[in-house]
Amino acid sequence: MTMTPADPCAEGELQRYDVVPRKAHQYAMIVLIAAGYIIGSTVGAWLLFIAAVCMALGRFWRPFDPFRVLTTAIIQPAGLLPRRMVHEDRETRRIARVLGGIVFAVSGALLLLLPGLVWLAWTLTGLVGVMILLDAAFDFCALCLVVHHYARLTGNSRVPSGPA
Amino acid sequence: MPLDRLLVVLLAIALVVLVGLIVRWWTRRTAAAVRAHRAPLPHLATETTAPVTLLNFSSPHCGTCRRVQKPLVDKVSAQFPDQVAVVEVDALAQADLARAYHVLTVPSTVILTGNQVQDVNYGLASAETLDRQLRAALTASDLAAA
Repeated sequence: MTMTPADPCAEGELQRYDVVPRKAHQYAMIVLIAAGYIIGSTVGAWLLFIAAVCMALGRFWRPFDPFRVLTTAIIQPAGLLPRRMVHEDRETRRIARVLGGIVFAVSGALLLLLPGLVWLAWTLTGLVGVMILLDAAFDFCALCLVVHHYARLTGNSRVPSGPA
Repeated sequence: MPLDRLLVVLLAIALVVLVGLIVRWWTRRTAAAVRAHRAPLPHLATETTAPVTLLNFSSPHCGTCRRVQKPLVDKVSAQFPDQVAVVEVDALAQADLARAYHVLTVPSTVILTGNQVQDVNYGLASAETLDRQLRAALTASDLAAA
């Protein structure tokens, strides 16, 4: 495989991915949980459940992720957002989507079933929202930083091989 | 009530964006400080004879390091055989070395000519970035030798 300065990493073993659908999904999650918080009550809980389902679709059945489909089938063909191909670690984000989806589902359940723990539900959701926004806006993996420092402080290099 | 909550959401988003911008600024400032560092840096366990050395900081739990950064480093450095030496550094096992280069997250990459830091990347470095930095380091190395 010939390498040229213009193509320092030829396609093949290391695949490039279009980051735009991923970012669209992340911003959509932010909008959903923000709307859930603003509206509150039962509607807020159901918006969190919708966000949890979207996270699960994005992880397990990506072609059915509505925001991905909206981006790749409508927005990008219309020329509203160009494709941006980069190397990135999809496995890490798959794990993050599972964790985020679980938090959204649990928070939604707390809102519906345990009104006394509304603060906990929105705190958990807010933390996940912060991580999603940092990744979407700055490509900054907050969970990676936390996992690395946890391993450093505990001297435990055998923490789960996940997000970092 | 919804107006109060809207305000909270807008403030939270503004705060997160501010934190992101501060982290980005801090990262660039730290990288510049490491580049400007003139004091002797810790010796590498691996002796290299190549004019340019690329330190690839990772750790056993880092999936991104293993799945993306290392293959990228290997592919890009393969363009410069005998000119670029890649040294894999476990940021947890060699904490002193990680501290010397202010490595707070992995993957991180450092490009050296001799003991002079040319570039530092905190977080995943793209193939294009590494390619550009290695070419610049090789040019600097040639100029220093001339």
